[in-house]
Amino acid sequence: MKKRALISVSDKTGIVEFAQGLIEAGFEIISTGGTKKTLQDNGIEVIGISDVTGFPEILDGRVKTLHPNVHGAVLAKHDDKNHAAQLAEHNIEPIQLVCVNLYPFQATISKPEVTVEDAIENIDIGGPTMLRSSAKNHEYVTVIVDSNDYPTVLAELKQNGGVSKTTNRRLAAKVFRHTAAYDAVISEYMTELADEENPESLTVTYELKQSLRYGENPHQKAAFYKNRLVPFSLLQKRINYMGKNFHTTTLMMLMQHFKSLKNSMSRLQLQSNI
Amino acid sequence: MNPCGVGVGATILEAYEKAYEADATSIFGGIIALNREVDKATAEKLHEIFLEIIIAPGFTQEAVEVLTSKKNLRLLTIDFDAVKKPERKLTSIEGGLLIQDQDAHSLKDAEVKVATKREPTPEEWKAMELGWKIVKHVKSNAIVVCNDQMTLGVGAGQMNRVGAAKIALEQAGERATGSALASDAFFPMDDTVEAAAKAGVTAIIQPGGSVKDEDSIKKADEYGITMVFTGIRHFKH
Repeated sequence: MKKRALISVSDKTGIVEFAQGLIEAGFEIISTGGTKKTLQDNGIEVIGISDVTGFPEILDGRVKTLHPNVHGAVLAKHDDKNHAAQLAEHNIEPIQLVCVNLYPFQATISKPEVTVEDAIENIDIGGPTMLRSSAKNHEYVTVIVDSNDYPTVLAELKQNGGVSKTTNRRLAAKVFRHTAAYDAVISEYMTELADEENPESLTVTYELKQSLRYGENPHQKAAFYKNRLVPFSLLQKRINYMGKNFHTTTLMMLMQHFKSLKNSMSRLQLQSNI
Repeated sequence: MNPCGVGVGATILEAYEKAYEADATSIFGGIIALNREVDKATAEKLHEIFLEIIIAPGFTQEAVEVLTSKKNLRLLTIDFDAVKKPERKLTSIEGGLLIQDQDAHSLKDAEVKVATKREPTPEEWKAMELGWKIVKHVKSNAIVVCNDQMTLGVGAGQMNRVGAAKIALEQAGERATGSALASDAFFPMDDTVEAAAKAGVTAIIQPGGSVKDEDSIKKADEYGITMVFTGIRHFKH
């Protein structure tokens, strides 16, 4: 039996080459909707998700992979006889690799004239569910959410015929960070929509902008994380221009100056208005 | 936030009395943190002044009775043993977060060296160790003047180092005679040593590492001050 990979990506960067690499490593590819079309257009043989589920993609693609034939294939422990027997009984072939990325919710809500309907439609359901199932079962399944990891996975497959447990665990941890951040952006959006004040949980998410040379003192490690939803034009530019990497104290002072400057500018404006 | 006074003693009462004596003015309306159970005798002393909060690992029943007679005083207990892994420190800045390790460095991990001709006496070592422990909790630029039992002056959050030293030394006043001075970062010039010497300080602990270290060492030698370098900086903003 051939190994199986399920690919369903919103961001198609590098996906054709990755799928090609997987085929060379002995995988057969299962895919959905737009991804399937892209792969087929590039001459890659693809099994449609409907052939796996025995069920059509329905509700404009809202339900594609949410099926026991898919989640059973991903969640089964490969060395568990009981699990193997159940898969056989239901004619399910295990899936060893899952490559999914999600509908661009954040990009959608960042558009100036986004409608609520558009935002809601961009809440991915099947994707995070696939990712979480695969990441939970990372002892047996390789799960990829970031196209930057394609080369590492292909290299390991080529050299060792499989992906190491260490890599699988690292990739699974990345998946849970990714889905948590994804949900955080949705929950912030929905909370604002529902006009909630002081909700029982704060779910903001930050992305690593850069590691800093050190914190307030050289023996303290430090990093700068950017709020995903706030544009950060000033510092973004400055950080890129500087030759030497910042440390925390400089950055804090810089931001303090920036804040004072902003405040005094508005005061000046106020004075001229009077 | 800056500590206004720190005291150590053989008993928690003695430690509190030293901390009180360290700065009897600023303690008014303050928060007191103690690292031993509060007993009746200490509670009675604490009861004498207006305080907002007292934090300790515990309070004896008698101490609680004494202290709860004050209406607005809040008593908090903290389990020091429960604090195992230090949380990382988050600082909010425009558009993001700075995340860094806590400044958990202690003097026992530092390579301390005596920079001056004169070696510290055992008392001076004790005083410098206490000052070094405290100065990292004071906002930069920070200077702490202390003896081996209590702070005598705290200079916090100044824009230049000698300015912080002047505040600390002025607060210490005559008590500065024979005291130690701790600085959270190196001396960019010898003016702090000069000010310390004139106030009666005999021992200085600081990170060292300035291009002008030699000037400070020379000045210290001139006044017979002993000065040690820790190689570790303790900025806090």
